[in-house]
Amino acid sequence: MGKSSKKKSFIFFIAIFALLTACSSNNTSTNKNAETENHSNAGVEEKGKTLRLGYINSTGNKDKDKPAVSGAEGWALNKGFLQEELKKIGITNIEYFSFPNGPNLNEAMASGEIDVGILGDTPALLARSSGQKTRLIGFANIFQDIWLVTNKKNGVSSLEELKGKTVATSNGSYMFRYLTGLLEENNLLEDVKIVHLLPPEAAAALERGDIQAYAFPTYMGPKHVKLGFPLLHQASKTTPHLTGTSVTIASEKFLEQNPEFLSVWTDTRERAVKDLKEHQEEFYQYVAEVTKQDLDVVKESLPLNNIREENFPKEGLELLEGTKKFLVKQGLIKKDFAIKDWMLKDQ
Amino acid sequence: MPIKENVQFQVAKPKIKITNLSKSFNQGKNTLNVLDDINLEVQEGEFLTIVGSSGCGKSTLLRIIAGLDSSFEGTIAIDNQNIKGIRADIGMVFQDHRLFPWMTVKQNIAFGLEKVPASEREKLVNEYIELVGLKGFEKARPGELSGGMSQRVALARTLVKKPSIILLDEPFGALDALTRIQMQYEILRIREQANVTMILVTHDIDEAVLLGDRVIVMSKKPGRIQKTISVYLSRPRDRNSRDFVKIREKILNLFFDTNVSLNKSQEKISLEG
Amino acid sequence: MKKTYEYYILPVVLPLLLVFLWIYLTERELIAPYLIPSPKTVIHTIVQFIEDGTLLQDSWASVKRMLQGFSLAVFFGLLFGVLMGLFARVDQFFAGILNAIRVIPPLAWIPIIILWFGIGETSKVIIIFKSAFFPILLNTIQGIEGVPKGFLEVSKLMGVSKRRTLFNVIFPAALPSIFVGLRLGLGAAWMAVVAAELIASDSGLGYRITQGRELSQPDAMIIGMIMIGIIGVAMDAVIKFIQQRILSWQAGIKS
Repeated sequence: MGKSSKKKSFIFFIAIFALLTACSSNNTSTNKNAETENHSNAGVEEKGKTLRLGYINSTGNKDKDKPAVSGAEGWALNKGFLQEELKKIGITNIEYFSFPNGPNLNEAMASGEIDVGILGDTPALLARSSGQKTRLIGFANIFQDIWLVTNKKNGVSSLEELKGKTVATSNGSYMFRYLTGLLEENNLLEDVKIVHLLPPEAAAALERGDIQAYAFPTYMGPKHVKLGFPLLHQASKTTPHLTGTSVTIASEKFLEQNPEFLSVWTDTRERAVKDLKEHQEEFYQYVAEVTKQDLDVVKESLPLNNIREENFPKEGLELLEGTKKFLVKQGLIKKDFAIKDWMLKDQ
Repeated sequence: MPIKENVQFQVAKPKIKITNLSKSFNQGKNTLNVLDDINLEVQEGEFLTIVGSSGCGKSTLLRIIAGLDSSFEGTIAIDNQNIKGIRADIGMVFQDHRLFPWMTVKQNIAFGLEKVPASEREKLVNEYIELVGLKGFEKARPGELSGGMSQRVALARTLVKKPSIILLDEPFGALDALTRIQMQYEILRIREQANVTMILVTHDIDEAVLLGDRVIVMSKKPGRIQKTISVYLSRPRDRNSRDFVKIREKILNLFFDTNVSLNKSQEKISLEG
Repeated sequence: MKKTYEYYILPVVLPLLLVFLWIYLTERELIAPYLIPSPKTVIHTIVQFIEDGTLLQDSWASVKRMLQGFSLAVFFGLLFGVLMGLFARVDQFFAGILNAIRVIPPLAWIPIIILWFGIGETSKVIIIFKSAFFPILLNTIQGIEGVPKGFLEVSKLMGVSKRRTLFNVIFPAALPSIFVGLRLGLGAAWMAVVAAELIASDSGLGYRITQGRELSQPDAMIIGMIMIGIIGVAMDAVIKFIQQRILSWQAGIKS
C-alpha cells in the first residue's frame, strides 16, 4: 500500500509540474523589459499588420491602461490620428513596449522584437554605429533637458566640488552624454567617478551619500528638484549644446515591408503637433496622466517650443551631429558614419 | 594428547574477569540479545581465540573489553578493577588497518607515543618496525603498502605502546589466504618477544585452533559462549596433525549438526577450513 | 606518441573549429556585426584595452573584489564548518537560518544588500562572500562529519589528546572534502563577480560587459567574457595544483 500510493503521488506531482511549465512558457516573452499591451480601438480586426512600437518610460511607474508615450507621438495616439491613418495602409494593430532606458530598447530592436522606437539620441547613435540596421525617421523632441541634481546632506554645492566624488546616471543615454560632456568641458572627467544607476534608484543613493550627484532626464529632473534635491546644473540654461534630442528610429526591414509608413508617420505627427499646440492644457493633462507625473513637472519638462512640426529641424540635426562627434572623440563610436546616410526623409 | 574441555587455570587473579555480561537493544518490538550472560576469565599471558559465525557478538564483546562500548550490563574487571571505558594499556587491532594515509609508516607507528620523549620515541619506533619486518619502509605511505604490510604497521602501532592486553578483531580477515597464514605465524613470532595477553576474534576455525591456548566457541541469537576448548598442543602446531584435525572437527561439529567428518577423516586430505 | 595526440591535439580541435566558424560567419556577414563582432574588431579592441590599461585595470579590479569576498568566505566558511561539523549543538543552532539564506540566490539578495549597504565596494564584496561561503561551509561540515569513525576509535584507544586528534586526525581526514569546498567556493566567487558588478561599478570585467551592453559594444562584452573565462580557469588550475600537492597521499586512485 505504501509503495504504490507513493508512486501515484510522484506521478501526480510530475504531471502538475509539467503542466505549469508548459502553461508559463506560453506567457513568457523573450524581452523581459517589454510590456505588451493591446491598445485596441473599437473595431480592430486581427487580420492586418501590427506595428510594434517601443518607447522609454524612465519614471519607474508601470503603464496602466494607456501606454506612457508622451510628446506629439503620444498625442497622435491619444487622439486616434495615428491609428486611423495606419489602418489605411494595412496596419490595424499597435503593440506597445516600454523600456526603462535606451540600451534596453536597442536590444529589442536588434533582436527584431520592435519595429519603431522612440529613444534618446545617444543610444540610437551607438546602436547604429555598431551596425544596427535602423533608419532615423525623425526627431520627437529637441533641446531635451537634463537636470544635474545633488543632495542636501553629503552633497556638493558646485561642479568643482565633484572632484574625487561619484556621480551617476543612466549609462549610454543622452544624460550620460550630457554628464560626460559637462565634466569634460570642466576638466573633471579624469577626477570624477561615473557609475550606472537608473533614475528610480537615484534618490536612495543620493540620500545615502553613495553618489554626490545624479543627471536626471525629463520628468524625473523637475520631480526631484521639487522634492528638495538642490539643482547643481541644468543643461538648457547654460549649456544648450549638451542637451539631448529624442529621436524616432525604424528598422530597415519594417520600412521595406511598409513603404508608405514613413509618410503616414511624418504627416500624422505634423498634424498632431499642430493640434497639441492648439490644445495645450489638454495635451499636458494627457502627458501628466500617462506618465503619472505632476502637471507642473510635465510642463517644465516639455516646453512646447521643443516639439517641432518638421521632422528634421535644423537645430535637431546640429545637436545630433555634435553628440555624434563627442561620442567619436570619446572612443565610444568606433565606426563613424554620416547622419545623412542614416536619415530617411519623406519625399 | 587428550583434549580437555572447559578447564580453567587455577590461578588466583585472572587478568580479565567478565561477569554476567549482557547487551541487548530494542528493534521496534523485538529485543535483540547481542550478548547474553557472558562469563569469562582470561589469565595473564594467555592467548585466547574466540570463534563464531557473524552476528554472534564476538566483535561486540571485544569492543566492550576495549572500552569502545560502554552500554552493557554486568561487570568487566581488569587487574581486579572494574572498568567501563578506555583503559591505557589495552591495544586493539582491527580488520581494516585504519592507518592514517597522510602519515608515513613511521608517523603512524609513533602516533600513540605523544607522552614519550622524542629520543625514546625514535628508538622504540625503529625497534618495532624491525620487529614486524618492515625495516626500510619507514617513509612509505599506507597507500603504497600491501594489505599484509599495512596490518603489520597496525600491529606495530599497537605494540609500540607496550600494552598488557591486545585485542584483535578479525585482523587477517581482509587478507588473502596465503598472506593470512603468513601473518598467523608472524603473530606467534611476535608473541614470543612479549608476554602479552591476547584475545583474537575470528571466524576461521583453523586460525582459532592454530593460535589459541583456549578457543571460545560462541553461538548466536542470543550471543552466548557455547563451549570453551583448551588446546594443549605445543607450538609450533601442525595443521595437519591428527590432534589438530580432531580439535578442528570438534569445533566444526558445534556449528553444523550433521556428523560430517569422522568417516571422512579416514581418507585424510587436508581441509583448509 | 599516442599520448601526445590525445593530450595536446584533441583539446584544441574544437576551439579552433569554432574560431574558424566565427571568422567565416563574420567575414561573409552572415551574422550582423552588432550581434557578433568580427574577430578583427575584437582583436582591435583587445589591443586597445591592453594599451590603455583597461584590460589590466578591469581584470585586477574584479580579481581584487573576488579575493576579498573569497577570503572572508574561507575564514567564516572554515570556522563555521569546523564548529558545526564537530558539535551537533552548534550545527542545530545555525543550520536553519543558514540554510534559508543559502537557498535565496545572490541575485535576489542584491536589492536588499544595496538598501542596507549602499552601492559601494562593501555590497559587492558581500555578494561575492555569500556565493562562496556556502560551498565551503557545507563541504567542510561534510568533511568533518565524514571522518571515518574507525580513525577516531584508534585515536581514542591510544589515549591521544583531543587537540592532537583534531589537528592530526580530523583535519587531515577532512581535507579532501574541504578542498572540494574551496574549489567550488572559488568558482562561485568568480561567477558572483559579474553579478556584484551590476551594482553601480565603474571598473571590473563584469562592469565592462554591462557597459558594453549599454553602449552597444558587443566586442567589449565578448572581451569581458573571454577574460572572465581565462582568469576563472587559471585560478581553478592553481587551486587544483595546490590540492594535488597537499593531498599527495591520496595519489594512486586515478592512475
